[in-house]
Amino acid sequence: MYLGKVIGRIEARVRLPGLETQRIVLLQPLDFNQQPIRWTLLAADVTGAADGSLVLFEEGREAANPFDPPLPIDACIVAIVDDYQYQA
Amino acid sequence: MFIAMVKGTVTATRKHPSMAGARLLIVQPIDPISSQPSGFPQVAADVLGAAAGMRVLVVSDGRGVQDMLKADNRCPVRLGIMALIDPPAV
Amino acid sequence: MIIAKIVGTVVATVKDAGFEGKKLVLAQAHVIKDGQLVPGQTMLVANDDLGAGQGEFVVLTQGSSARMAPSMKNTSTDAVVIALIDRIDASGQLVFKRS
Repeated sequence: MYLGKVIGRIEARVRLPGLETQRIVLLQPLDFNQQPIRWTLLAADVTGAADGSLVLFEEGREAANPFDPPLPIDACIVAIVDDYQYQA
Repeated sequence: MFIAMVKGTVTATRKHPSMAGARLLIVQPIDPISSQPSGFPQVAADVLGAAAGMRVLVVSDGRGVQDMLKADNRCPVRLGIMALIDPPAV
Repeated sequence: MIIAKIVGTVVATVKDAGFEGKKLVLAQAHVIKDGQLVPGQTMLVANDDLGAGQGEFVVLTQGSSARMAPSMKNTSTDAVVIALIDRIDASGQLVFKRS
């Protein structure tokens, strides 16, 4: 999982079947000094994360695991971060 | 699998239910020879009791993590700490 | 997933059976940088069942997750268009709206 921040959202009326109600948000991956790393990406969300939330997201095939029946999802928010301790 | 240094812990109340029994640790992948950081820090599930400053073996495959957490295949976690690496012999 | 812009189509007569009747598009990754929607570094070919047109912004799923789309079950693809984007908001600002 990577640390990230929810920085926005997308609207899309035309979607593949099964994705009609799936919330898709815009994420900025962060390091643990909360500096931006990598590039922005889109992720599904199973936690109800709000705009500005610090989250953990998973990528790859595993990101589709929470969805039954399976959905074509390759990034998903899986936890909302309350707090963390980090010593570089 | 890769070797990483444990750098901290994450607390998350709201998370996928399959992660309920796991500790969430911040792991910095390192070069196994030089121990220099390699790439960005990530978060891995732990049931072995790893602590900050330890070198650990991390698997990046959801099936392995599901077995480790005794979770079903709805579990989305990809990184899991599979071993605590012994300190170098003195 | 990534934001991508459709920049072309790919036509092939000889192909794996799973690709028969499937549309292929050329898509350029885009990212949000300093509050703007800008081209990223990757260009890729993706399957499209939603009729994405030239210049449209779409949501692309990559890797083995792409085959989780019901219509891709028998297609050995690793990238698929899952939605056509109407609007993107970042940091409270509108950064894209379909015209």
